[in-house]
Amino acid sequence: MPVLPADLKKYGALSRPEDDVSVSGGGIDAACVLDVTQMAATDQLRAVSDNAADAMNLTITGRDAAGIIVSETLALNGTTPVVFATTFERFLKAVLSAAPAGNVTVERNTNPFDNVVILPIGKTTASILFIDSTSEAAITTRFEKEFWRNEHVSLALTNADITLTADPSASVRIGVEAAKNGVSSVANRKTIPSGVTFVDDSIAQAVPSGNLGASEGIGVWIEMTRGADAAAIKTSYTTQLAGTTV
Amino acid sequence: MKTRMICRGPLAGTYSKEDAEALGEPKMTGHARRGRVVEEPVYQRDESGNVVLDDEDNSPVIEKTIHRVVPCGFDLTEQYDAVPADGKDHFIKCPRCGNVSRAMKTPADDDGE
Repeated sequence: MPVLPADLKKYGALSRPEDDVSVSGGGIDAACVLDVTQMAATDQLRAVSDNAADAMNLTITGRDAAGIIVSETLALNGTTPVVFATTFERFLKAVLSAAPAGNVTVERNTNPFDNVVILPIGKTTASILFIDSTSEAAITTRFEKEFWRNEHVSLALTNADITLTADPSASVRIGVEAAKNGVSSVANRKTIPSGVTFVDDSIAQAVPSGNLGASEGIGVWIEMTRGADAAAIKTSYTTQLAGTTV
Repeated sequence: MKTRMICRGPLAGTYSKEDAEALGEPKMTGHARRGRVVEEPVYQRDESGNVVLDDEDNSPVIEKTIHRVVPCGFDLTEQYDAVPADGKDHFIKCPRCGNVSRAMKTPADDDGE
């Protein structure tokens, strides 16, 4: 069985700051997924598992209609959706109190119940990056880290490279870490990580050694720049890990 | 060891839903599509499938011209390697497709650790 797209997983770093003074980066946090599809409109959220045994608490954090960061916690009810009372303008993160036995879907509470994020079996956290990052009087640049990991049991992803494939707000560049399974961090997200080459979406940046072996991860620094006194944005970016396989 | 940097080419539109599904990557819908746009002739063929030749100069008769977006793929590793690690923006022009990319290399001895 070759390396399939489903074997290539994106995770957060252990230090995911929500302010400009906390540490950013570190090693891989394989319990934290980043595949969030931001809410297209203000709505309530609901959560449901595909395993009846899941009854742990789920805490969702987002901004309400007034822009205030708020959280709400509810216990899951297995395969029956539970609806959060809060009306969210945007999703920021979701944290389960224990690893789920099933896939837990967080979705809008309006038909057709658009998915916001799926917490896969065993994963406790889903988050966006750059939570609460505001523009300032001068141009502001922040750095946070994500990881790509090859979860095939034995095969390497060969000729592996990483590309920024979508950046609708033209505010992001990416820089692949110099070594796989890296643990580098910066003192806070306004500190520039050392020894990284940041590129825009017109360059595919190879993984060190060119291959991403089974169970290997590669850190990718994300540089997000906001102009002076820039207007608020609710957007996303997308990175892609691509390669070849036997 | 140098990190390979491969040019994806200039912006050539965005992936339509059909394009993305044809790639097997529906999530690519609306994403930037990069690459060189090349013109390719489609030759007129007779009933047996042979290319029709012009009566006067025997050149193939072009039925229509199609435009395809192909990845640039030029290896820009040497150009990127030459970028100084000064934390400033530098612009690199691809010799093959002319696309200009923006790069910033951070000093290795900065306080990131």
